[in-house]
Amino acid sequence: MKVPIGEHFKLPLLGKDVFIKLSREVGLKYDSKQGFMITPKTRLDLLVSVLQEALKEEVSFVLKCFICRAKTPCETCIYNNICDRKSVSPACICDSCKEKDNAFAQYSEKFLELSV
Amino acid sequence: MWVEKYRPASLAKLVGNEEARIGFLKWLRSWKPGGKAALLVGPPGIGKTATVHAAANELSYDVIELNASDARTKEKLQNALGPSIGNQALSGKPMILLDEVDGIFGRNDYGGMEFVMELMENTSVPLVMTANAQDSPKIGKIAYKAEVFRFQRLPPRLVELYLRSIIEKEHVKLDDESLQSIVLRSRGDVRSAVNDLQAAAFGLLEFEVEVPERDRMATINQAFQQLFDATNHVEALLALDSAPVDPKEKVRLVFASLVSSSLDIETRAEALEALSRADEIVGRIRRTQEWRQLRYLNTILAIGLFNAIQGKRLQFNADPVPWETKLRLWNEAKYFAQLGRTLGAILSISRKQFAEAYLPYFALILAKTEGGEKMLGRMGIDESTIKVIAKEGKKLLEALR
Repeated sequence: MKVPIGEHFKLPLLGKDVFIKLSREVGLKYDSKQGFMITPKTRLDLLVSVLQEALKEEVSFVLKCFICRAKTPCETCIYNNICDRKSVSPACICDSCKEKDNAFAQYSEKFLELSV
Repeated sequence: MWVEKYRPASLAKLVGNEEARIGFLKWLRSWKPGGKAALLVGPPGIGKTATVHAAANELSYDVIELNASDARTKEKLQNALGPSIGNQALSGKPMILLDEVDGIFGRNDYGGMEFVMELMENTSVPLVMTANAQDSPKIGKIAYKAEVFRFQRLPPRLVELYLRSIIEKEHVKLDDESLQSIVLRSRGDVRSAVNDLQAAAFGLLEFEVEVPERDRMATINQAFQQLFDATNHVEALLALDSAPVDPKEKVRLVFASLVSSSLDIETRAEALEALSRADEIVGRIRRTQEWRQLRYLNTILAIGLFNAIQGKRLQFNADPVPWETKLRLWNEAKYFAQLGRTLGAILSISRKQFAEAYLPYFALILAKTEGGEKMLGRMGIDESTIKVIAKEGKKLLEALR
């Protein structure tokens, strides 16, 4: 399962115990209409182990570009082998934003915009 | 150092952990007396302390920083923080930062934890704590009562983005492959990535990523040789920073190189003095678990060593025993073993016992006794062994005189 970071996602029914674990110990936010969402308080390492145990399948994260919110091309990224997506901070940068001359300035501007 | 030069003045100049940074900024903006304390948790080198300082700077707070590892008793904490708690008029707009709060709760927690819990309840200024350990029960207690912001290592692409911004400002020429090597080495630790970048800019970094043992030794060799050949303090510090060994090993390798060197005795004494100061720090850290002091180790060692040996040739050597000595010991050991076997059997003792308790006296007696060598021959000891033991006896005799 690929778990998106920064947007809601749905899970199959996993039982009361898993739900309690996910919301109390893992720190997932839950909305009955939209589903689960990862927040800064979420323990991603724990989320992976709880979900893997409950779903019996590999769980990985999909990072998004902090500037344009596009999905980052993890599979073709040069750092794919060393980037432990369950333990890194959730936003990344996509190829097109990274290639721009003023990429860091744009990144900073986006941060300012969101932190107001 | 570039890590200091590029210490961010505002939160927007940091990278990674965006939501945690925004969350912390919002917490600080909306903080009111009686509000919750903040706890920033995550591995070292990812910007927790930098976030606190940058946010404080943006919101005009004066940070009263206390390295919790330095003051772990209730009394010390009280003395250090007492005046600033509830005394806003005197200190402007204060904010308390207990950096690396896990240090308070080490082996010697003399009421530190209790004090922090009280402080969290009663402080009239924002209280911010940082911690590396996420899962310790004591941090758990603090986390339960605080607003927690979890910081994680950075995705490598963001580390690259940050390094590129420094490269641009410093007008450094670095090919993509080298930059990527630095990013890979850093494993999401921005501080170490910036240090490596500076080392690379000074031509002091060997670019290896998955380093096999043989290459790792080559890198260690090169880093220490660069430390010994440094022409200024910064070069020395960067070289030592780039050596991929733990602090204890750094001290051992410098020691090995010094004692096996041909430096004059005064220079060696001065360098060993600098090394002993570094060794004291390593020992203190191991005893007290105050890992924050590690940041001073490289500086003290690199600068002390540079001052002691500058302009003189020191060759890196990982082994403190010179090769000639080792060769002699190895050769002689064969003879001593033979002697121990033969005489041990006669005396009904082991070879080891003979070597440890009897050999020096035996050699001395042999050197003092007329015809002792012939007597050994009659006992079946071969001529080469007799020569070695006789020589050893003479040396001992001279030493005793």
